[in-house]
Amino acid sequence: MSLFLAFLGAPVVWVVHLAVSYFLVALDCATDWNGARIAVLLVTALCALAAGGSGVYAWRGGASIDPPQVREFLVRSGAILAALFAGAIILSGMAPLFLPICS
Amino acid sequence: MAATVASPSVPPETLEQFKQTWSDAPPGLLGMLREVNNIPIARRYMLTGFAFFLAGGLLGLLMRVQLGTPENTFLDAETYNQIFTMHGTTMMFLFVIPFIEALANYILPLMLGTRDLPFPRMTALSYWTYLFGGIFLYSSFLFGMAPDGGWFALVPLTNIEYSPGLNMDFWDIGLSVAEIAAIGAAAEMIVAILRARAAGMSLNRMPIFGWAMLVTGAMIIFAFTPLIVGTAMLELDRKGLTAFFKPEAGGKPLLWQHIFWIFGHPEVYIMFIPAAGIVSHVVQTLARRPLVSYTLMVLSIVSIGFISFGLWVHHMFATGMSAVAMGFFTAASLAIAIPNGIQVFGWIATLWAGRPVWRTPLLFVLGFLVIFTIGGLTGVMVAAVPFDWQAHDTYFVVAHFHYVLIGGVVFPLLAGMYYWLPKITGRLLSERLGRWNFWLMFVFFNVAFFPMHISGLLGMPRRVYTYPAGLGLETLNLVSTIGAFGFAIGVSLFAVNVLWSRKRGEPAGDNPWDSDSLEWSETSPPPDAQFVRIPVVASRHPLWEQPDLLPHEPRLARQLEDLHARPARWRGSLVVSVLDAKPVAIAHLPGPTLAPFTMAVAFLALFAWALIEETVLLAAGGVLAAVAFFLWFRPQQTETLALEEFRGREVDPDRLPLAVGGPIASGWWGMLVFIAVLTTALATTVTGYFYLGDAQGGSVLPGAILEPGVAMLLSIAGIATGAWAVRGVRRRLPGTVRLGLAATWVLSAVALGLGVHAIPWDTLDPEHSAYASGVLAVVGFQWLVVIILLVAATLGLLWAIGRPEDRRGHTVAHNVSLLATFTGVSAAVVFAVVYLSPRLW
Repeated sequence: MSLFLAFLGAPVVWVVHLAVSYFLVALDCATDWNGARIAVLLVTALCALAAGGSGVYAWRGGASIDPPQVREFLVRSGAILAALFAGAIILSGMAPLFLPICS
Repeated sequence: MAATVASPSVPPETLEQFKQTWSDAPPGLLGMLREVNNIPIARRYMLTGFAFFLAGGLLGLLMRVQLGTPENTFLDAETYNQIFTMHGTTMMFLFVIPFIEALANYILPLMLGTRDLPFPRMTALSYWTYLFGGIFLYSSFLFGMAPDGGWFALVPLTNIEYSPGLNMDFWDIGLSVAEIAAIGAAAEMIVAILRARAAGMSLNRMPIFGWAMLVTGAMIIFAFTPLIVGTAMLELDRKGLTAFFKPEAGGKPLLWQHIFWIFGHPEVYIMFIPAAGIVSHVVQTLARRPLVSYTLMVLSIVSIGFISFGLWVHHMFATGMSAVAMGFFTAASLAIAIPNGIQVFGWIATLWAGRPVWRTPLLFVLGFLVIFTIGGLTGVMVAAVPFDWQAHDTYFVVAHFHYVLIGGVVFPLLAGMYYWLPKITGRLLSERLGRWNFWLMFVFFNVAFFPMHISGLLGMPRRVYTYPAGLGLETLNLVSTIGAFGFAIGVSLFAVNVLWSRKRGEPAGDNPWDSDSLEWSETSPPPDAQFVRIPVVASRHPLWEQPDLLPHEPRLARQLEDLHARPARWRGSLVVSVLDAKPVAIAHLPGPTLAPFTMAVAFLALFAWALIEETVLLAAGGVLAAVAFFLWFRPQQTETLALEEFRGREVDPDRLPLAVGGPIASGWWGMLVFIAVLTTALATTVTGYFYLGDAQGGSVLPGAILEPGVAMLLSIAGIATGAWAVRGVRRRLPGTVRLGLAATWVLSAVALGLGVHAIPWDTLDPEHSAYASGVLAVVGFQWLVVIILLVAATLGLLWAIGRPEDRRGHTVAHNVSLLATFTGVSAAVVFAVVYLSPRLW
């Protein structure tokens, strides 16, 4: 589990962010609820933090992996993936700042 | 460097017996049908894939002849529709994916240092299923009923009202067969890469192509499964049994687009990622230096694998979605340029820092870099919504995806062929013909497809069989047609080169490119009995950096000695730990059998029945499937022999045990992959149910909550009884195993009965209600899972009763437990979705 968190935590959070954001917008457009803009921004902040957190966890060597060279490869990879996917989450999550929710 | 050789300690007769055991070459047709070894199967797979490539190319040429002049009557509209549909379908489903899987089937075991893929019968089944699926699809031409609704089969065009013939049924059903083949091949690639590498080949030392195929395998599981569910829905609609996509019954045509494109866009990367893996190997070898930043290249592959699943909506920008929703997918479509860019710069940097040898494989890589980069740039253009609205469904998009697919896949595949064919045939291809082959393809590709950008921007729509004169499209189309024929001549030169080299090519030797990876340590062509001695890897580039491939630790040497030209009387291969590739066991691999071929024929009969509903075909398919099932699952003599040889091994720490019973067995890992397939299918049906939403024209299932609730609880109880059976296995209590399995069986059977009984069949009308269709999709999936569990539990019980001490039965018990766990969880999800969620609003 710790290996999964360190290596693939951020990409999985990115998937969750996309799915939740898409769902919130669909809900906003299909019902009387009009809170998608704030909700998406909030989810974006949380997901970016979570993705970044998985990178920090990886970088600090949170995963107990043997042997050391495999561990080094995986945690370094996890940290880089976290940076990339935290950026991707922010890039997607900014859309409500500039675009109308339902149009 | 020293190649792997048999040490003198192996008697010649043992070596001979070892080779004989691995040989799949009994003479005659029967022997051919029984083959399961990866090498002969992969060879056939590649040849078949190439034949379909030529067929698909021929269809493309017919299209270009038709479009070469305005108002041409060479083809009529209906024939043109059939040809463009089959061109796309062939290239996507019958050429690229199977060809890549075939190449991986051949090269991957060699590259990983293993003797075969972990499920050889699955290798054969995938091939036969693919072949029959392809023949099935192409047989539609004989009846004048070739699919004509496009390779994307958008509804409502492909609903029965607008496509009344059997054309799209051929597409739906034939495709399902090919998809099953692709998923089967993906499953065994995943297990091979995780569990069947050379000793010491830890994840950080794995060749890039291994990473590429691992990610591709996972993507196939998560992308092809929704398509199987979607095509099943479409076929049920077409048979008049359901109304998923029929607006008049509350169905939603856009659901099809979501399902299709959540397959369709990852599909592009399913094709591109292996191609990128090939490019990495060619660049590294011919630049004469290790790839610049291995870690970043691996991470790019992993990132692309994820992000590719967040792009599908960019195929639907013109369907009227909200701006912000499109913004999410635009962002993802732009973000994927980052990992792609990292790879492109990685290859350029490797060439820059190396001493490139400009042989034909590297020329094709160069062509790939140029063409794919152009395709990538136009991809960024169409990812922007305002531009996409202008260019959507025009020839600009046709140009874009041909730049991506031919540039990003066909050129790398040819680079791979020039690179690896000497290993496969033992002969080098002609360099001179190769250069002609490359330059003709490169030049005429651009002549054919670059003008399409312009004709698209001028407004020429896709999928039209002709166009009027005077719109300024004549010259552009004529140039494209000339280019297409020049390109075809270029492609045919490859076939000429292969045929020429079979007789006259220079002998390749073991390692003609002075490459770094393990496949080049074997002879060219490699024997069916790969790796007489299992290689030991201590570097990312073993043939460049290791003096030999022998074990230098005494314990490792003792462990691997049992695999030195052994086992001699049955096929054995090394099983390693996932992360660091430490040897953990020796796997028994099955030998030649008719089971896969028989199963594939059964599939063909059953799918033909689905097409024309002839009962004889159903009966024949059922009987053949039963025979194949028996042949597949009956106790194998060689496995019994293996169990006898390895009895008592568990107590000797210096000797590897046999990989049977539980997580040590490849079958357990295969079951995990199967559960990933089932999870994806469940997610697809549930998402479809919610997407159909409140416009379903139906209502909450009346009052039926007690029976399905009890059924769900029984399925959840099955998790405990399955675990109980495994506990019995671990504690060597045969009675507990039997009771656990029997209880699982009974609970599942009762749950199935209650679940079916709970449905108000007289009021639920899936033919006229999308709501009812959605309900039946979700609960029907659950029933299917329970039936599979019942079959598995029956098999487990037969072992537990007939041979309680046999560890093969223990493997089945473990797998039943895994499946029972999924079934219980799935039952809870299905109950919550169908019976609880409607009561929330």
